[in-house]
Amino acid sequence: MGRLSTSAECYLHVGDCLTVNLCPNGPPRFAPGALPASAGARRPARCPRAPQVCPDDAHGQFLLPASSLGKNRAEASLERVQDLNPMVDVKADPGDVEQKPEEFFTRFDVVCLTCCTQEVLLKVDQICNKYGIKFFTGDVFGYHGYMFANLGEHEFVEEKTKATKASQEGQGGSDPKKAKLDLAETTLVKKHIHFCLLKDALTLSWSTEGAKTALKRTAPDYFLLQVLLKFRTEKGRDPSPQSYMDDAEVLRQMRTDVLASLGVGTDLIADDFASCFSEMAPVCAVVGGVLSQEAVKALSQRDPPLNNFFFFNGIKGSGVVECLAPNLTS
Amino acid sequence: MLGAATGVLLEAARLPRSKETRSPPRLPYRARMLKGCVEPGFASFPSFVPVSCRVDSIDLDTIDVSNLNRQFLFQKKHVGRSKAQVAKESVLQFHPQANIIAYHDSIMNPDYNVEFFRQFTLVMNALDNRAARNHVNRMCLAADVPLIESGTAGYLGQVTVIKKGVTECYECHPKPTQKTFPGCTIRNTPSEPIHCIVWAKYLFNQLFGEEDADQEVSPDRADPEAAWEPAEAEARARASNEDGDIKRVSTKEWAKSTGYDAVKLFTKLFKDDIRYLLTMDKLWRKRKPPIPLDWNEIQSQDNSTFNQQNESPLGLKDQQVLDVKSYAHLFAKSIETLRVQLAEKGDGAELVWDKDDSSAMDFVTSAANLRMHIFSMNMKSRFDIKSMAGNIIPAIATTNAIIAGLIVLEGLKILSGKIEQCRAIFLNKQPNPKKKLLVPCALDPPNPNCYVCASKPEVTVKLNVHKVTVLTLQDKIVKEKFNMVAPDVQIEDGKGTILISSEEGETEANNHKKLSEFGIRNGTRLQADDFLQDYTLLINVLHSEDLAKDLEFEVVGDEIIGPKSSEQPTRNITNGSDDGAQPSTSTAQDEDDEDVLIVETEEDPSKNADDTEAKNRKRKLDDKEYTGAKRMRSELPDDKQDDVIALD
Repeated sequence: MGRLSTSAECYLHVGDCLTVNLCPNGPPRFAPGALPASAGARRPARCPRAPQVCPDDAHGQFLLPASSLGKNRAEASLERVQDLNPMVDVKADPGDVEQKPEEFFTRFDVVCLTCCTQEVLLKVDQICNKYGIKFFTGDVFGYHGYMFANLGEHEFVEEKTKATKASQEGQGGSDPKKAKLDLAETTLVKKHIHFCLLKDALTLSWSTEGAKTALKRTAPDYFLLQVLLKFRTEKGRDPSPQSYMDDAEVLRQMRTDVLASLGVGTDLIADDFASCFSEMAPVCAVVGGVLSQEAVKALSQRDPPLNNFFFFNGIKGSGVVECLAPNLTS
Repeated sequence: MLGAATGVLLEAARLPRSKETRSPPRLPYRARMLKGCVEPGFASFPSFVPVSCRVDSIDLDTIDVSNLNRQFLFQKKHVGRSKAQVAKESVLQFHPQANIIAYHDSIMNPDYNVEFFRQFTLVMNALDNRAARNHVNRMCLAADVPLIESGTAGYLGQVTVIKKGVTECYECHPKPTQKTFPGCTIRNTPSEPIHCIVWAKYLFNQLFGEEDADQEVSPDRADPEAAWEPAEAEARARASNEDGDIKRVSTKEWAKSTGYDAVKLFTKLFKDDIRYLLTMDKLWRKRKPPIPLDWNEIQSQDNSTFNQQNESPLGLKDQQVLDVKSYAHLFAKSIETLRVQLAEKGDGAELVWDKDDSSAMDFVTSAANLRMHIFSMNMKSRFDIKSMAGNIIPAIATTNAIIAGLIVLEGLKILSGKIEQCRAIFLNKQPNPKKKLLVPCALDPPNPNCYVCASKPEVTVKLNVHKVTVLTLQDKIVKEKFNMVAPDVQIEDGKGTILISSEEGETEANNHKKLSEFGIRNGTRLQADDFLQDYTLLINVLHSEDLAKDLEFEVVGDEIIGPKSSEQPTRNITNGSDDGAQPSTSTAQDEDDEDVLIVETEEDPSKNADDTEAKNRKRKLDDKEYTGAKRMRSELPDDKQDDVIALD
């Protein structure tokens, strides 16, 4: 649980954080953002089920020394993650997140998944929702990155500045002008926000009139994400530059299927999937930065969280927050 | 692999956001990129097109303990070493093929001339002060190399691309007074009240709150200004960190061990530490040295001796400025109260600074004022200090990560020859009504009247030729205002009379003469030239006898060119350079965002704001985005300031 701080500076004091999968686009880049940001965290952050370090990793991941090829990712990067912030107790768990029992997750305040199949995402999201654990997931595909958050029923405080009138009215005399430059009083306003399940967010109906209007304003990245998640689920990997031609063709086919099943037109996603290949370090930095900040917000319960998707397009340089929940499109 | 190169760049881009920002000059990051094959499709397949790329990085800083928690290339064992060098070593560990050259130096060193800049395909700035930014801006214009400029302030950030003749340059529009403070300024050489207020707030945390290495208050021996030789500074930094560690651990412990003895604390902070600062004599060559305070002496002072001018004797108690003796007592009293508060919370507890907590505010008011007095500033009322202290924005690591990523993405566009796709990108705290957290805006074309990037830069300066000396012209106008490093100034009188020479000693005899003594009068044209920056500026003198009080000169058009009307933030910034300035009205971050929101909502007529200026600037992007917010925000995260603090 985070501490509610009344000062402008907010430090995260305690928070058990589970980051799953030190995948190419995963926590190595997310973690550095999260760990320093949670300076002062005194409880463990964990990184279970990391696959083996592959050659690609060693190039892009500064947490993985070139000498760590073939080792388990969580274990290989443990030392560097720990170096970032000695105040954080980091543990590596080489296990498979899919095999973890429900109870495993209940130990954490925040769970963050990357590089997981849709199946795993939905399952862990369900578990987190059940136990009131803050759930995040994020991935990077080429120039495209996204974050999804399910904070369940989330309470937070927001600092509002009240435009106060001169409090010294009537004190007249001395310096009325100065008196008007009063401190805008800040008050902390308590708020509540509801998040939906990832399952619901991914299975919205787009057939109603309202939904059709909403569709025009919805980032196509949302649909692209579904295509890419489908690819990952079916192929057991992400699109690879090594098999560009084949993978691009598969993606085009999947796009048609996915969009048809969602009841929207194929033209939402262009034929060219070139920008979805291979992970891009700078895109990870952006998405990881946003995700980390959201995790800090969730734990500290300060400031309105992003509800519920963040889509980043590295070519356009645009980052959009979409609230895609069942009630909004009905 | 470019993917890898990207990683390198990313690190480089991150690097300079260092905590202990030394006093200017500061250092940017440059990337000489791209020899080797760039294939078509490069932009879409960056990670599998082989590109050999070299990155040069320059940083004057050494690594401080306080850098470690957010600068992941540095570890404890690196403390005291050159940032550029350690960063290089760290990058090589995960990418052994990277070609990186590290310089532990200031980018404003004349060795880095136009030729030096010209060898790069691309320059990336991650600077924390305006002087260095202006300088690199000019060097890149002179060398015609694209520059990526960036900045962060709290949750806000921005990245923009500057290309000669195509986009605005960094100096196309006047910027408001800088509002960020390097760590050395806070710890060693405060020159404005806000520096002392920041210091006092840090002190509160060091004594009663969460100890944070970023908030060190003791003298900083590694101040590069105290030892210009980087090697020497490095040695100092190491020494400082060696015993600095002990000190850091013990600040609170030490205070506790004295039982929070107010007199002992007072003596350490306001006497011993100040005396120590005085031993760093290089700092005081051009500054007024601080004057240590002695507790006993103050006690024996008659109250009236120290009496400060009371700004509003009839006003509220909070608006009065007390004398030194009263502040010393307030200091002691607030320490006692806070000690009790801390003790009541039990072992290991911490107090959290809150401007609405009376004793916390008393502590900061008294400590800040005592320090202001020591550094010969006019003290401030509790009211003013409260307002200023409530508005300090901390640096945020996640913002830096996001901005670093964006810098690299813009860099990739430039490297792949698609500079036309570059955007100025703004990071908001909350999504705008168009749901954007990151807002791309089209780059504006150069301002034809810019006195830096126009083809024949020209400016008009209003001054009194009978009052302004050559030295003032040199230091305040040509160097400080127009940011030249080593200017030559001649009069365009047909004879080319040399007024100021960059060669030391050549024109010193002129220094204290008034401009009128050289025949300079209304309409005279001066040619200022900086060889290093390859920059020539024509200065038209407009003689005036009715300049505002305390104003030595005024640049004509400064007010008009800038989109002042739309710059809400500008108006809210406390101009700390003037002791008498009004405190910020504490228009918080949210409101700034609000401003941005308004402009962004062009499609929403209900919110279509008053801001015609901003509207006029809108232009359509290929992705149907409107770009109004740009101007609004351009002043905000202007100064990269990882470790520094912004007032807003």
